[in-house]
Amino acid sequence: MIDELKAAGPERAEDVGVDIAVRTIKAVQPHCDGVHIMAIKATHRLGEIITRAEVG
Amino acid sequence: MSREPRRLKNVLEQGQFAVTIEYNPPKGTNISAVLENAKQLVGRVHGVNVTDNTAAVVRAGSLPVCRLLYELGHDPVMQMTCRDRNRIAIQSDLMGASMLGIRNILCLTGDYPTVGDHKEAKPVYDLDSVQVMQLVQGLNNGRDFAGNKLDGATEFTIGAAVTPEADPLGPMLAKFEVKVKAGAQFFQTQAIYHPEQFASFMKTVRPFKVKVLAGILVLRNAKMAEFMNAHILVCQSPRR
Repeated sequence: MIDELKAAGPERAEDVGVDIAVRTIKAVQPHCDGVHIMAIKATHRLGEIITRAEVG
Repeated sequence: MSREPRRLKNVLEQGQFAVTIEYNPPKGTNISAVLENAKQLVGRVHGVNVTDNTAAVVRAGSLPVCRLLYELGHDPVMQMTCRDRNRIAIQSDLMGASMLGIRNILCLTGDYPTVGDHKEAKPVYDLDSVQVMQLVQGLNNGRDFAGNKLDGATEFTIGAAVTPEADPLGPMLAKFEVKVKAGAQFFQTQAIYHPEQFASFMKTVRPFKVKVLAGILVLRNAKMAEFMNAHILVCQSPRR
C-alpha cells in the first residue's frame, strides 16, 4: 500500500487511497456485517467510495 | 421535531450490510463543513460516528454534533471515552444523549492526554470501556451505576472497538469476549489492511452473536500510511 501511494505521487495519492479503500471494502464484505469508513480529512470522498464499493 | 432516522440497530438486526462513517467535530465552532458533507449522505449510510476529542486533541463535543446529525436524518453513534469524565459525568451525558434522540454509543477507553494537544491535562479513567458498557446496560435497564432507580431508562445500542490485526491476537480475542459479556452488540474494528487476516479473525468470532463492521481507513498519502505504521503499532499498513 505504501509503495502504491508513493508511486502515485502527491497529486494522485489520495485517488490511490480511495482505490485501496474501495478494494478493501469489496474484499471484507463477504466476511462481515458492515464497514466503518474513516476518511480523515477526506470526507468529501465518502460518497464516491460508497458508490464505487456498491454498498449504499 | 426531527424526522426519526432509520436506526443502525434495525439495519444490523435485519442482516443488511451496514455502512457507517465518522466525523471529527471541528476544533472551534464552525460546523458547516461537517453538516454540508453529512447532508449529501443522508439515506446512503446507516450510522454516523462522532468522535470524542479523538487522539486527546480538544474539539467540539460529540453530543451536540450527534444531535445536529440526527436533525439532518442520520442515526448518530456517539463515541464516549473514559479519559475526560468520571462515572457521574458519563451517566449524566448518556441520559442527556438519550433525551436528544441518540441511540448508539461506542464505548472507548480513549488515548492518554500526552498524545494530544493538552499534554498537561489530568486524565480521569475512573472507569474503563468495559465498565462503561456495563454502566450503559444498567441505564438501559433503568438503573444507574450505583443501582439507583431511574425515572426513564435509556435505549442505547452498545458498540465497542476491536483490532483484528493485533499481533498477538490472543489477548485481543479475550478482550473481545469480555466486551461481549459486558453488553457489546456491535463492534467497529480498527483499520483493516489484510483482508485475508480479517477473514480468519471473523471465523474465530462468528460464534459470538454480535455484529462486526470492518474499519476502512482512507489513506490520503504515503506519509499518512507511514505514520500509521509508526504510531499505531497494532495496525501495520503493508508495503504491498
